[in-house]
Amino acid sequence: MHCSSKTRLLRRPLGLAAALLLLLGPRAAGAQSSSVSGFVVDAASGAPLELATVALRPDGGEARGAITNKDGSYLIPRLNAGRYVFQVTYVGYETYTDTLQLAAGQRTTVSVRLTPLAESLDEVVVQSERTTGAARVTAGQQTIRPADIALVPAPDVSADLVSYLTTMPGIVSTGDRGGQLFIRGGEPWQNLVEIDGMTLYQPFHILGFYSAFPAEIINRTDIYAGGYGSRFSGRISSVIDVSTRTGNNRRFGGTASLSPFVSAAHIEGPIIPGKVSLLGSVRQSVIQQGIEPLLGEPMPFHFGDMFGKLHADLSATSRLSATYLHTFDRGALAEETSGRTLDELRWQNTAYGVRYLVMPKLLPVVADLHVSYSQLGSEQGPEAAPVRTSEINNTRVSLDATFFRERGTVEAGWKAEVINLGSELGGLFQNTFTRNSKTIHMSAYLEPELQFGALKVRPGISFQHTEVLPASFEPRLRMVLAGRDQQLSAAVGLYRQEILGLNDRRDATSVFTAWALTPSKTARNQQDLLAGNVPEAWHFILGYRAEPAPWLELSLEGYHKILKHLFVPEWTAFPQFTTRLQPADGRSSGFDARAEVRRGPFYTYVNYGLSFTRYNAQQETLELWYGRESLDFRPPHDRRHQVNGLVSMEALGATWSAHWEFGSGLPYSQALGFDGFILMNGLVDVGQQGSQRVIYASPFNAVLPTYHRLDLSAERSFRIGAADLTLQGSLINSYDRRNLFYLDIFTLQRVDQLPLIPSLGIKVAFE
Amino acid sequence: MPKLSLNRGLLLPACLFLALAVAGCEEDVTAVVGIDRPFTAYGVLNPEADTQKVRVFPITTLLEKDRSERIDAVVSSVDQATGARTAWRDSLVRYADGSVGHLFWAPFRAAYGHTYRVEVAPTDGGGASSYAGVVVPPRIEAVVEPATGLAPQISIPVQINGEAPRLIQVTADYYVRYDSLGFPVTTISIPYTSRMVKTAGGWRVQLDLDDDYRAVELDLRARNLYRQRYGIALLTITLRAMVVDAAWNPPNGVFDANVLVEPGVMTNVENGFGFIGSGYYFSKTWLPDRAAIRAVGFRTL
Repeated sequence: MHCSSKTRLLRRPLGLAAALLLLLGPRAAGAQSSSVSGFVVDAASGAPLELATVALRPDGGEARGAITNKDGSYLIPRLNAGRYVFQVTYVGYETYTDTLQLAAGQRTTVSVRLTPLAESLDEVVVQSERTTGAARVTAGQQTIRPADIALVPAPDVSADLVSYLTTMPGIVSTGDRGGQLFIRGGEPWQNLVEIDGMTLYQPFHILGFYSAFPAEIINRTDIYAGGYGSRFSGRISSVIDVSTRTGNNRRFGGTASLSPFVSAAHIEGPIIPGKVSLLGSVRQSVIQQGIEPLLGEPMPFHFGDMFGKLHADLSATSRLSATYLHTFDRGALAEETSGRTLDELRWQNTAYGVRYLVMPKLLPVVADLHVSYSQLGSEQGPEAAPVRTSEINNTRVSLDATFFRERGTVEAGWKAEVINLGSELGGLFQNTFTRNSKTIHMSAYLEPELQFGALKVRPGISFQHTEVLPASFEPRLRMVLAGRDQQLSAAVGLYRQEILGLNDRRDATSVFTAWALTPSKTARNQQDLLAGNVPEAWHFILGYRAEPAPWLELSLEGYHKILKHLFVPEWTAFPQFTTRLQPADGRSSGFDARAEVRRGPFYTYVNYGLSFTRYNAQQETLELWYGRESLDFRPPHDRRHQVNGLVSMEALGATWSAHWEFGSGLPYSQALGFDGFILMNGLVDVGQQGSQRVIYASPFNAVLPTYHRLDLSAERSFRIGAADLTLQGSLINSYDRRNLFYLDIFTLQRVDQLPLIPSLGIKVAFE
Repeated sequence: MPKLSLNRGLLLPACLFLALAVAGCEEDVTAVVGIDRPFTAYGVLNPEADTQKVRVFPITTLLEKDRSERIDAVVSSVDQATGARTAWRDSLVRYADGSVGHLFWAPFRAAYGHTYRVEVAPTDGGGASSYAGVVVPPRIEAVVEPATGLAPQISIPVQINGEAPRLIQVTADYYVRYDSLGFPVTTISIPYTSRMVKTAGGWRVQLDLDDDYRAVELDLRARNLYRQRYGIALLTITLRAMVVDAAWNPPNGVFDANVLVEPGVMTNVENGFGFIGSGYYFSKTWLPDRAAIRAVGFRTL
């Protein structure tokens, strides 16, 4: 029977998923075994409770149990028929106890609303904090919760995820403007950033203190600095997986805040009490009104975001949520000087999606269906006639399923994406290039969890199918050997990425990224060195974590990444942004050391990151100018040393925080000088205008000055009637260090990062 | 749990703050390190032109379009064979964007086969100068030999006499008529640079009349100019070339702007950058004998 190529595309991973269901379903279900599943939520707000303990104790038998996941769901499979004592416990909540009588083969649903103990709220905080922590890293993975984010001094009383991310070792940012994060040697376009299963392509705002993720909307964030499991595909560096919380479905509440940087508000409450809730957030920069007059210099940054989420508890076994996110940014990273016009950047993210979470009666499985659309549009240059534009949009359908076995789980899933990309690239001294392309990206994965005593192993395989990657099998492995107060973890994996983010890293202010597809190998482009060469990375991680005392946690983690088929802008003496690419390979190695102390009102953590990242590029003209065919160089994000220290303490009724960060200098390319160029391809008229030319020294041959900065903040809350009033004072760059953000080697224009900025913020919360 | 004293707790941060405040000073960064080569120059010495021209760019430490009406440079040339020294004059070329270019010129005709030293020096004569040695290629002549081969594989040998170091952009231009109505004509150029063979005392090339006929027909068909009822009438063949000096030698023989833009690639300017070459246009036009023309498919008039 004839079938189209698209049908074949769809059929392969769908067939894999169907086979998986057939394979795992009946086996996992067991012939006549019973199961109990459901959701555990907070009775006061309807919020899912993660990490609640659900236990079933048969008369005279061995207890069986489960821990709820981030959706508050649990499932205990393979139970014998009989009578059980059913108990749900969570620190700070009244224990729920019931009796269940299970018949053979019965699938029982028990969803529980736990009632908070008013006098134990502090313990809830304690419990919540101990699931995360600055030193609590497992094979590259770290979980961040809003409470962690709140510890970091920020210029705003309304906290933001990015404030915390930039305190992590191995994460290099472009500073307090630009919104670019480089994770363990990877580049921003190699990071997968998802919010509730929707991909965001440029989620960080133009001012580095802000992202699309205000703390008010976050439930948890999982950062994988490498070695991530099979569920994630299509990126070769890291994963930032943000899960938002659900709004209170019992009563209305919200916050409003104002600082010299941003005004923000969030609201949540029941649409149908106990069933459907709304969570909404909106932020708008007020920098030009708040900071510009304070500094007396232009701060051309304008940005904002809005988020909305409707969440419905459809039944005892299913949840439905719809999420919308929009961000916008506008600003110029370089200042306008004579001879150089303001190079404004603008970008907008829009994403919306629907998520359906169900625990079907038929199988002991939790199924998670996502349908989403996300889009990024970027422009550079004057608004009326941008010099460069780029757009990428992604329509996605995915199904993830967790199969529960007596010991451990099996996770599997399937994803189909239709991705459209288009860009028009012009520059100061070049013609315009237009690229438009489309790809259908299919992927599937299988990842069982195996438990051998204290050793937990998660082998997995990720499969990708695209035009340029007909069949990419990517093995992954994550392992944790956990003792009572120490843990050894490791991860290894192969990762491939067909979508490229093209930018010119020679220019720090050029955060404009053009999205493009790796060209596939065809008969017509045999000479194209890039064709068919999909960027690829191998990750190796080995980590050790220990808790020598209840108040002290230490971790040490080493990593090595082998990077292949990278695309870096071709070295050219034309002073231009160019889409001509040259092949490069790379490697990144290093380690992170972290220490965290929590003692009474005192909290501190210190971390140190050491990183070596090298790229090796091959280009015909390299030999002509530098005398060798390939060039081994430090890419501009290779920060060798990084230190972060954070101290937070409760004193005088307020929370006092200080954060100091240090980064060794980033590499940059020096120029020897500038002249002109005329193409002498015949008896040409040498009176023609010709082009300007840069005479470079070796690429990235020099190092910029070191970066360091101390931020301070104090925050105090007051109860005024039904509202909580929070006042926050902060000092950004307290000792007014002139940290270099950008040096234009063409014009010698130097742009520094933010100077000392005092800030006062106010926040009102009502419930 | 021991209680932390606030005073002790704040002491360390206070000391740290003071220490860092001292460190909060600016560090210098050098973006452009400079180079001890003063000028970049581009030019062609053409023995068939009355005026010679050289464009001069100063090597600067700032990337900005040249708007200065004065340049701190003088250009001179010395004919190594005669010792004649020529001082060149500066002229200003204004471009549409307001920038200017400094075009130096000298009213003389470069002599075939002579070597010139062209020097760009600072105005005051002090400091380093950039210079190039330029060899003007000798005069050449072409001898078209009788057509050879069996129909239709006819070729025409052309012998070029004279020690021309390089010939670039060599083409055989077929001037043809393609219809009987009116007198419509066109020229189709067929590249021959890669088919030039160096011989003792010159160059040699075989024009492949048969292959070229097919190429001409294809070209006319692509432009919808081919008329089956008329065919193609050959009016003349012109062999064209640029006769240039040996320095005109790009990597892989290709004049690729992205390659040639790299400083140091195809440059003959000492203590500077750029390229000052020498060359002239050469052409030879003839009509092959009628039998050869007809043998490959052309018609004759």
